[in-house]
Amino acid sequence: MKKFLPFLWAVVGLALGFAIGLGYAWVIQPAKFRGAEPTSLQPVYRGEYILLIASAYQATGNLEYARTRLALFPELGPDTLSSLAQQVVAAGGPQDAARGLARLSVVLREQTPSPSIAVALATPRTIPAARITLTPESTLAITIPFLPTATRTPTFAFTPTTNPEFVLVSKQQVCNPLIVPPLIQVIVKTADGKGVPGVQLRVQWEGGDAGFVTGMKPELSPGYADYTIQPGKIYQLTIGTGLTVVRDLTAPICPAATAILGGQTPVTGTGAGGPFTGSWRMEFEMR
Amino acid sequence: MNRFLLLGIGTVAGVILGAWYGWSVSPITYTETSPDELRPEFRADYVLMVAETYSADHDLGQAAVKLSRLGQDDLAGLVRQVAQAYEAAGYPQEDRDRLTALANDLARYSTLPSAAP
Repeated sequence: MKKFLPFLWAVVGLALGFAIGLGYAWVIQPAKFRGAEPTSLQPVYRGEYILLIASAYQATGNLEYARTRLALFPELGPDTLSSLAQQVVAAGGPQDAARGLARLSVVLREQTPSPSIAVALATPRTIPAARITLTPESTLAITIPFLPTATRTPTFAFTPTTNPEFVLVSKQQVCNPLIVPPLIQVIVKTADGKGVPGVQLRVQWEGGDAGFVTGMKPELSPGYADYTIQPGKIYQLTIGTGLTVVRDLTAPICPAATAILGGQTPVTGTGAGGPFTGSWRMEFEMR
Repeated sequence: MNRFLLLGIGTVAGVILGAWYGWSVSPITYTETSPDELRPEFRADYVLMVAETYSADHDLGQAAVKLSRLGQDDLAGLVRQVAQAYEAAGYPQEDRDRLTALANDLARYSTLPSAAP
């Protein structure tokens, strides 16, 4: 024991010195602040930064840039982007950002996942080498920013040069007792049949209105969106810039479910006995 | 060996180790920052994103509001500076074109009409 006693002094010195050194490096002379990263921004600015990424993507369609930028926020997976798009629509935020978020959500979901995807741009960029690492998605602490309304383009303002036209190509009642609650289902496609994510929709009824956007359920179709309706209420659906409007939508009454299902009684749903409330499905073509 | 000597050696080694840990391994991180504190490369990319968005929506007011977050008064100058830096770095022409267009529009609309000469 006596033999090791001197070394005990060295260990004590080491611990003491470490504490002094750490205090010096953290408090007295911290490492020089070389500037903040977007992840360290205050939630409101972080939200604005993310919306800017989405708006820029919506404007240019440059996926490489968008992926490099999003890689700074590893928590932003397709599901988070999709939920953010919903939040932006619900909060009346910028349309182009909501569309960009929804489109990015769909595009990133379509990518074949790999443990990590190195993103390298064709041209040298000063953004640090970015990597998208697939991590479990966590709650993202951001605030949807609201820019001054005085300068904001009014929602659904018509700009002929940039806004596409939507044409209602089919509208049908859906008598499926398994769809509970009843829905307004919308599918937006291009002329060649590809689903279009990020299209803004708005439902209005007496005393209320709500927005939703295509691309939130990419497992069904990138151009799919739905909204839950209540029996007895009359709804009006507006798509895109507001020029295409479907009026007088009420949840249809469907005959007994057994007839629909060919004699099988549904296990769940409202039609387990008599007539039940159905849904609407509408298909729009973007031109 | 003298115990005071060992204590001194240990302390010096500890200070070096602690400082190295505090500066390199686990330096102080800054949170709750604002856009004007962004690192230069992120500021530049922020400006490019604003220019990209502006190229589609042509909303100069929105672009100016977003750029003003970077804490610089001369917005046109800021965008022009980034355009020049991107040109020097060999960025794609379309990026530079978007930046130049935004800088020109900011300069045009932020200048009050001067009195006739």
